[in-house]
Amino acid sequence: MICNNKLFIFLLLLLAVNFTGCEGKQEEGSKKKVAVVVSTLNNPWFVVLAETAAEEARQLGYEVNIFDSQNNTAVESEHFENAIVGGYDAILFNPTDAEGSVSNVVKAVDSGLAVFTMDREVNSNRATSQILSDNYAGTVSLGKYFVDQLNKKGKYVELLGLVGDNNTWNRSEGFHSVVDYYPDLVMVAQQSADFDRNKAMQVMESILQVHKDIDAVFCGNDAMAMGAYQALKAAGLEQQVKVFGFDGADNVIQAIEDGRIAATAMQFPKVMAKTAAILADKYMNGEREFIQKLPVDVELVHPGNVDHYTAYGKKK
Amino acid sequence: MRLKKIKKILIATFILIAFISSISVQNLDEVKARAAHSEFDAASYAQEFWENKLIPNLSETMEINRLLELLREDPEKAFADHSKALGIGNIRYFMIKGEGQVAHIGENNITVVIHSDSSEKNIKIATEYIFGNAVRDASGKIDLQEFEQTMDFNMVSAEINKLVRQNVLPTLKEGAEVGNKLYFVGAMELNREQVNLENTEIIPVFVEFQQYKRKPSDEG
Repeated sequence: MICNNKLFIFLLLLLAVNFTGCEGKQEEGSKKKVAVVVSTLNNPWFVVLAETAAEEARQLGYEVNIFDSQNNTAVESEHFENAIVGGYDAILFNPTDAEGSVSNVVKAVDSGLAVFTMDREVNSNRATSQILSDNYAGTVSLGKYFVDQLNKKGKYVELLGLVGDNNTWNRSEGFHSVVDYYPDLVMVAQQSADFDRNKAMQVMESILQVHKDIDAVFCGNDAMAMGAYQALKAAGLEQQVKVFGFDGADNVIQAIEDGRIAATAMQFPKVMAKTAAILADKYMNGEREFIQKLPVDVELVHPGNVDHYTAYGKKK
Repeated sequence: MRLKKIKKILIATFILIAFISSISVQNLDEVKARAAHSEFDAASYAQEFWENKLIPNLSETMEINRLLELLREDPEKAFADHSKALGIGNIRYFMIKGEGQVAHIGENNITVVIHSDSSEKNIKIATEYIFGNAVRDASGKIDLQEFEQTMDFNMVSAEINKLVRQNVLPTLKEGAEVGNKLYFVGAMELNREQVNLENTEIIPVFVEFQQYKRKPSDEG
């Protein structure tokens, strides 16, 4: 009983310290605060997204901190709790899960914070605005190029990203909305590799144990494309199998230039991040009317036009 | 000694249970089914758009000769005044109409020669790759903000493209003979920074052979 009382007092003290600490941060006249909550920092694409958003917000005069959700909605939820009690005014948010992240957005908005999603969508209209990569249109372009490069026939593998992410399915469905029109293009395996390079390499290695006679691999992002390429190279199949990615990462742009990767779809993380920060700034300055969904173009990059592009964007 | 052993077993069991409960194995087909769009009827939406918004307003579209001239003389103005797009970026869509003569029938498209006062130009009308958002977005008549999930919005494009295959391509393929004259209305995608008309295909939404006796504006 004594032990329980001590524990209760300790928890109360901890809570009190937490709240006083947070209140102390909101001094009058101090900078307003922006939290950048990103699904993962274990992928260079998201590092660019988060750092660009943070940099833009800092330049606009805000105190900014980046939070890594480690692809885990529970961790993401903790970050939102911290942002709410920590006196943040806006969250530039790259969600972990289209459904699983909704409650975090609702909680933050109900607590008076503005939430601007970047790249990934949440299945809710409660976010202040959603700045989204047009994944579907990007993979439709990629799908057409894929069909053309394979002369409308062949066997292929698809590596999916995180299954809880809308982007995974937008990309997959965009690709299949084209490729499935061609009955001689046969998908022999479809597996998730969580947008992760190492996992993609392992998954591809195991697929190659059964299907050595494939002609192409379509990957839901560039990290997986590089992982798949590594596995193909280790199996001596890199010349016969065309690899298609999605993102526009620096190593894949380089790989398209030297012929290792067939094509990718260029997303513009810097454009999305800057737009989110600028919209947050407008919110902080009193604007309340925002377009609910703002798509950002995704462009096909192949050997014929790769010289227009650089990592995560266009050459200036 | 025995108590220590039991304690170790209990700890190991606890860790094992915690580890197992932290793993969730999901069937990919089940996840795909959950991600499927059960409520929104994209086919009906596309049909309604086609019948009531797209086809009755085709006469509002720009003449292709005028657009080609503008793209040559002042591309910035051509894009600013005559293209549509939903978001941020360089990919823009034009709804255009024109008349020309079939010059070549290819595997994926039909080449049509367009005559203007001073020159002639080849354009391609797609017969194979009817994909993407060109028709939906060039029309400017469908608003993304109406849709709770972006995928529903994307499905509308897929259904509109099905209508093109079903309503337009049979007439186009049937009447396509070198030398035949053709009136067409269609949608075209161009990248503002990489304008390449040689490789651009028009997605047709209306075609008419035989000296253009009936145009969509006459249909009422």
